[in-house]
Amino acid sequence: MFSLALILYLLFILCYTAFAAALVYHVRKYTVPEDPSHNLMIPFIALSLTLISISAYLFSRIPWEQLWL
Amino acid sequence: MKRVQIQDNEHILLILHRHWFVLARELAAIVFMLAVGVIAFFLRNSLYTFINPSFTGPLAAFLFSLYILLILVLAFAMWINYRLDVWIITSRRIIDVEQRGLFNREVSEFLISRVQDITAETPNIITTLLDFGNLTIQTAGHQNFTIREVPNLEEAKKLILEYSHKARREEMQK
Repeated sequence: MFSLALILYLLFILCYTAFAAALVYHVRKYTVPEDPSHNLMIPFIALSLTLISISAYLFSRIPWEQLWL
Repeated sequence: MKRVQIQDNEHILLILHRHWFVLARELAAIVFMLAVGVIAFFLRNSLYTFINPSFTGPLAAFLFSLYILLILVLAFAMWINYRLDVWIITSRRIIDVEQRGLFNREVSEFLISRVQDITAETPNIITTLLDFGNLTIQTAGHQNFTIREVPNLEEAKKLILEYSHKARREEMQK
């Protein structure tokens, strides 16, 4: 169960990273430097990294051995 | 297609984005999703009678963190979609950049001298109160072109008509 959950979690993070990278790419390529989207890019990346770290920590805290399914 | 290129002999008169209310309307869905997630997270205690709480507690916290990640990326995508939908009115052209989705982008333009008629429309009470609406432009030999849910309707209409007349006069003089 742990292995399956880990694979699903890593898949989610991979998809999230790809989508977030696409968003950042759009901001950099299609908006003018004065656009406020540039100011939101760093907080978005920082918040994403923080939440990914928190989710990894919370994943490690799940007592998988207690799951009897 | 990179950023819109402006030619040497033209200058930007007005850049129109959709009204902030359009963004607020879309973000309301995000706020709703967030509220549902928070409620579900705090209602997890009710599951404890059926499932072992020492397992469901950490699992709920983990799933909630993924849910917040999902909401964050959706909110940022909405913001980008809002910012990348833009109409640029220059002294020579009207450029419509429409971001339909993250990977679906359409850029169309027509000469300002081809503008024949403009209709400014504020279709309902919200648009009237918040002062925004739709601008329908009729062009010579083309279909109607609609700029939806933008502020500064009268200013845009006046500018387009003024520069349209000016461009036509210049074309006739040549």
